[in-house]
Amino acid sequence: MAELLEIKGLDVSFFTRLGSICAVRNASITVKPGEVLGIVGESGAGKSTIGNAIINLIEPPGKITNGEILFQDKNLRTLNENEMLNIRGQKIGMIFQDPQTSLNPVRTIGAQLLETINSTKELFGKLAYQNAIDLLKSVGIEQPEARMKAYPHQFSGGMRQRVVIALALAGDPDLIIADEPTTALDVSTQAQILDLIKALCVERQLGVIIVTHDIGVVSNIADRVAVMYGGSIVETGGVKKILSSPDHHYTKSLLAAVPRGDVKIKRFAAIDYIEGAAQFHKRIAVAEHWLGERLTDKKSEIAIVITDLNKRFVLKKALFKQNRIYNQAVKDVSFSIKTGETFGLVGESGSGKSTVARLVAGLLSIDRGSVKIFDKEIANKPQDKQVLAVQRELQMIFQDPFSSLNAKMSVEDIITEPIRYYKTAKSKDELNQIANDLLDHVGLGKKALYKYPHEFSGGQRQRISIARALAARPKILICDEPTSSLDVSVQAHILNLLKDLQEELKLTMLFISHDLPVIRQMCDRVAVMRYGSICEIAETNDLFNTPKNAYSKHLLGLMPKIHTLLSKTI
Amino acid sequence: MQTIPIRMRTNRKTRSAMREKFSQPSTVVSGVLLFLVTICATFAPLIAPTNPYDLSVVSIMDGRLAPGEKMFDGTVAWLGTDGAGRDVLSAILFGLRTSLIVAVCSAVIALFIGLLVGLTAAFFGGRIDSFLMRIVDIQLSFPAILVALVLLALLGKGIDKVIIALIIVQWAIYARTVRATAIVERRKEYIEAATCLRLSSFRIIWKHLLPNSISPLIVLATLQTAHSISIEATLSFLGVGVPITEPSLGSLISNGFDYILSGAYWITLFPGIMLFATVAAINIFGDRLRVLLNPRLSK
Repeated sequence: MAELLEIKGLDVSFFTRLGSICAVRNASITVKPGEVLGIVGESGAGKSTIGNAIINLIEPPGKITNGEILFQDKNLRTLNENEMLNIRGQKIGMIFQDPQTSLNPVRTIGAQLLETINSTKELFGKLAYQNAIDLLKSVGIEQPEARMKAYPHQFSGGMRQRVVIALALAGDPDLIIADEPTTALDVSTQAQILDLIKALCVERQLGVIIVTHDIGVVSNIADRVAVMYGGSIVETGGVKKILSSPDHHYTKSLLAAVPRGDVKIKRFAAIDYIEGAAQFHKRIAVAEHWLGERLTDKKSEIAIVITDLNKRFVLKKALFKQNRIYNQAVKDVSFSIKTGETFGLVGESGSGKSTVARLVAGLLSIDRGSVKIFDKEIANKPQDKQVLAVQRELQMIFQDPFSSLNAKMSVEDIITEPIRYYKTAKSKDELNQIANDLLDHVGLGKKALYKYPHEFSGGQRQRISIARALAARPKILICDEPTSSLDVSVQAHILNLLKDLQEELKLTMLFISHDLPVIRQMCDRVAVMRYGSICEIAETNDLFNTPKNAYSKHLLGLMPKIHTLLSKTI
Repeated sequence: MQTIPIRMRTNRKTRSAMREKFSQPSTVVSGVLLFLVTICATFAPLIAPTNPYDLSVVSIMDGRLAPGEKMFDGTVAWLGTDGAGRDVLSAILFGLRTSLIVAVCSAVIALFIGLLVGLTAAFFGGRIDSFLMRIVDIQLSFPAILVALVLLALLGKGIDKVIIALIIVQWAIYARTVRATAIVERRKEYIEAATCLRLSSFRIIWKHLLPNSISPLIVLATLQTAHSISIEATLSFLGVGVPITEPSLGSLISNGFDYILSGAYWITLFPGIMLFATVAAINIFGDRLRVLLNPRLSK
């Protein structure tokens, strides 16, 4: 079959005053009609740049410096801006990452669809309307006539992404470029959107390029994969071949870093190819180390006991109670965590798992129920000295590494703050020693002390967060989606670090994630949450092998099964 | 073609970008003007050709000399003299001093009060927030000049009184602005992390919330300084501001108003130009500062 798109030796550079940076180097890919090509790579690998290069949307100072882009045997690089406009709307459609921002919030879905149809197909009036209805039907939106009048905010994330796909299809394109189309969506919505793209691709004989960081997505939908690293395509091939017997060392590392959903492994191995990963974790001899010195020596079998926890948020304020509208974020949640155990909370977004974490950490007030930490009731006693002492032994690691560090403080100030505040160090030298130790433990060099958070990458920032939490000498660590905004390889490092620290310091962990494979690798026991209540609590292995609750089964069914494709050697 | 480490690049880039922004003509001109105005005001007693308030020097014989004429004692009155025989240039320099003292003092104190109220409201939220913000609403619902007039009518004349009036007029604006920024920062996870460490509320506000919400205030403070110079000038023009013994630009303008129809335009015009230049310089500089401090506005 003839190639729909052929890219030969593409180079894209960004010119800055300090010289040029090569974002894409000598990239060559091909797409046939009816074929899905996945481009995988980590952030900064240049995968989105390829997508933008095809439709000539590279923003200055970026420029295509070399290579050919042949689309239906036309060289796109030789076309002028007007000809390119036609290609962009009618021949190539784009699907962007965030359906929140790619639709205009002040115009109806219908208006936006009709506008696109008017300009790309030059259909007007009744014909255009009928066309729009057909498009909405084809992307699986129920009652399209009624939905035409709706505004984007009246749609859920998945529905919005369907509308974006409808917009991309409006000009009957031959090629669709989807840039991280499901990253902003929940697992179950992700599965539906991917199925839709795949079905449309087969039905309309479209060529599809899916740009993603998620190997799970690629394994579900792609026919062929191109793996990118540092601007170059290191490997291209059929999806089965790449996933089961990769040739390139980077691909092997990448695959090893993907958490497995089928078996629990002790550590993520062979992930050393990724840059900056060379630091080795030094084992801590707890007995003679300062981290071993505890503020209290109480021994307790059970770290956290939660009974009938309730929390609701006011959605609509009103003077009279009966007129107020509430959202019950957490409803009758009860569980207990043994000392030294890792307890997982899993669920889709909005299931209330983060709220539970914040209630336990005392960041939100508790409406009803009790939270006991080391046999001490902490519910709504913010000023109690003993409660404060117990709460200090519980620290939290947050989801977004970019907002969880104070940008105006140096790393040294950030990690030594709890020590200085509680005066747990005897002298300035000891303080410095502790700061150095902490950075060692989390795998950052001493040089990091005098830098500011913006000088670090997401993974490094997360390490600083961990160091800050450790500085307070916690016994319990609450991790709220600690790796969900990180690349897989970085995620593997952070998860390894957390595992090591837990083992050495005998920490109790409450680990929150929407990512089932991560939960499987990290947790001893798991609770599945939905709509604010717990559906099932089980040992991790039991849950993954024999889920009892219907919703747990549903969730597990959505888990990408890439490791069943992998050979046993990795 | 070699990949350059990101870290180094951003550092160098921001620095050169800063230089580029600061070298824009409007920034340079307003900056230089602002600098000159400050120097003139600070060293007024040293620079001014005569002391316009030393009654032993001022002579009624020099009354209403046109710009460039020689006064009785031989000094040239470059900008003329007023009805009482005072050198306008010297009067402007001394008046500028008063105006700037009033404006800067009131801006700094109002900033401090506004910061305190705004941060408290944003950090504690709930009832405290509602209560403080309603007070701010009430304050903001009256026109500034009206409140200042009433206050001065009650308090009487004097530099300190004008400063107090301007503080009362302005603090609410700072409180509202800092609350808006701080409420966004308050929801960020580093504040939650600090709460997890069980640091005291004071420390969280002081060390975490304040440094992250102060930059819009710096800009606002410059713009408000210009604003309070004009409010003070208006008050003095209306005769309720600073006393005649310590004139400001506003009272100088009002002073010359009686003579403007008899042709002695200079008594009003030159203090007016000075007022205009000062306010414009501060405003333009503040505006440039806003662009520089806000990464979203700069490209």
